[in-house]
Amino acid sequence: MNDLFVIAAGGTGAKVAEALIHLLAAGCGPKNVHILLVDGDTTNGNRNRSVQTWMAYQRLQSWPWLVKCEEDHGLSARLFNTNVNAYVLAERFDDVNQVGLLPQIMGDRELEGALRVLLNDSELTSNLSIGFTGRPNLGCLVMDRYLRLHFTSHPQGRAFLQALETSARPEESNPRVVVVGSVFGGTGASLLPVVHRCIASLFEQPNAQNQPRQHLLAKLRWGKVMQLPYFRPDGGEATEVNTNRHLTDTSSALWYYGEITRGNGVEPTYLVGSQSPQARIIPVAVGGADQINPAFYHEIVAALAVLDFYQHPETMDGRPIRHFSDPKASEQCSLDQLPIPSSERLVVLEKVATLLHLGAFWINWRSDEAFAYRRGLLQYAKTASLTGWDPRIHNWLNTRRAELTDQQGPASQAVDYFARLLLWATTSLSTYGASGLAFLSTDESASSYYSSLHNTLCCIKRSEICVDEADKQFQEQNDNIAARLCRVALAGLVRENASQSGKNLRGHSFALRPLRLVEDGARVRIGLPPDRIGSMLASHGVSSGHVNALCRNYGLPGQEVK
Amino acid sequence: MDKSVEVAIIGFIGAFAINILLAWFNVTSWIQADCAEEGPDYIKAKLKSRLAFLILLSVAILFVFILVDLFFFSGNGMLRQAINKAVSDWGDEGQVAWPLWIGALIGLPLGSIAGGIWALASFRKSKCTIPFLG
Repeated sequence: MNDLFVIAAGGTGAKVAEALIHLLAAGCGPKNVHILLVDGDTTNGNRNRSVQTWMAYQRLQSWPWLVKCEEDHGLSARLFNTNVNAYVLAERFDDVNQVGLLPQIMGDRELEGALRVLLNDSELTSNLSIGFTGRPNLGCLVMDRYLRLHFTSHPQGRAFLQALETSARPEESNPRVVVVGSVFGGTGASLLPVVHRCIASLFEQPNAQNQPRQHLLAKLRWGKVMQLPYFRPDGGEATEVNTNRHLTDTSSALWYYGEITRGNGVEPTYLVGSQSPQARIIPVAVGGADQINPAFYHEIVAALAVLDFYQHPETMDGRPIRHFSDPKASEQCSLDQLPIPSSERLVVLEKVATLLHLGAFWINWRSDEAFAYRRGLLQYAKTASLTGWDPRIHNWLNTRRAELTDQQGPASQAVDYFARLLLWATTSLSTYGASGLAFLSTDESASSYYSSLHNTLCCIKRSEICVDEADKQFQEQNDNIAARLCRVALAGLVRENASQSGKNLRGHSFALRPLRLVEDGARVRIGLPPDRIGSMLASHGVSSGHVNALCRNYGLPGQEVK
Repeated sequence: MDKSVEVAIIGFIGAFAINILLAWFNVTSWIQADCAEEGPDYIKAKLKSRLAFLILLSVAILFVFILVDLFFFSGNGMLRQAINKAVSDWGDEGQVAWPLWIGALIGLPLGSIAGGIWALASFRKSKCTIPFLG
């Protein structure tokens, strides 16, 4: 299987990478993915959030995640199926442009004159300490030098290039390389036109072991995902980011890309934008840790574009531009409008829904004296002395129950990832005009939404959740109690959803409605009230400071806990 | 076999059979209705008191039967007539069928317990076997 390499530029690229990581967690994607996050803003909040999401993913990815329904119903599922390697190239642009452009060209009056036509005094003297701040005209001049320097000297840049080279060496291998970034910002717009050429020129030289690698260039399949304006920072006029210029800058950048690729053939390119960026107005933040925007629907679209390119890396009918949009229709940011081929639509949605339900089921917490089966899985496993599960699963829980309360243990790691997932999904699929993710109302939250699933867990056999690809039972030392509980729940979710077709695969006949992962092919309704995620995390022992920071990071201050 | 023992056995079997069905139906309905949203901890905590309640209820009903038999039927009694038909010539006229009631009294709790176990066993694939296994 070919590997996927994603070069994510700037804050927008990082957010697309975050969406991609969640899709990979749901089991949508290839076996190996390498993500290079490039940003000249060393403290960018968007990138930090993506890196933390990747780290949370990594901790869970090492667990066994395969479940196979034993009774030969053909049911199986696997989450976290992708090895994701992230490389962070977050060095200041002013390292290669310490004094701004002007002092460097003072001796060249002709060049200075030409640049003064394009750049103002501020741009000519800026040292770019927080990136290009919406000035790709400036960034392009620096980015090529920046990339060459760090691909050859920075450990992360070199590691990424080495991974690309290693992946391309097998005879049948055709690694996909996708460049993702915004066209309306700074870093992405500056990187998009130069990175392919930069890597190509580096591959034309032998590697550190003096092995030739030029021949590998022809094996790489290149694509681009360009983010057009899809949100609008509010109040940027007084700062270095002038959002009024977004559309003009985008138009100019696209014209420029067209000019420099004219006659050379355009690699498959996805343009993802919005007809109504004003529907997503966020406070402006010019770089740094404060630049941490909510997740948006369009980043999922871009992540799906990355996966689409992975499957279809060649240009289609000589038309490299793939445009998923109907300009006559009003924009609908809903789950059922995601650009997924119809043959795969329900499969992809059910995978994502399974992950979301598992997350909700894991962190759900009832502080009142509720029915036991209205508790989330982790709370139930912590508190129930009898579980009703397969005795071998139950006995394993009994011997390892202390791990569930270990704040550094696997259960807490799962809480961390699922919290990020749910907060990310909340903003990208249920706010800012997006729809598709629905929650229980506060009144409904007292209902028995996951009770059927709880009963189904009693029918899951150990052999279904401790199985490897070769249908052999795996060694217990590769397992941990949180992973095993997650797999029990995963098997239960699969059985619940399969029971929709009429055949009861739940293993019980309680008159509870089986859980439907995706309702009407368009809506994922998870068993949490929308405003309780923060307080539930606190109930699981996450410090209130961390909960509040998490909620703020995702633009959900209403979820904070005292 | 002594006629008293025969009648006691009849009482036992009758009470056992009735109560096993009663307990099975009761516990099954309880699990289906209330326990669908509860775990086995709840079932374990409530099962004993539920069975005890069933037994007490049965004993109370039996006690009413005894009183009815004692004060209304035993002289020329309906119950006696039935017993006499079943076991020909047992007992004296006017005597209360004590062996029958004693047999029934033993059969009641055993029938309730057996019915409860049966009901739980019918949920073998779900959560309800565990209370006995601990």
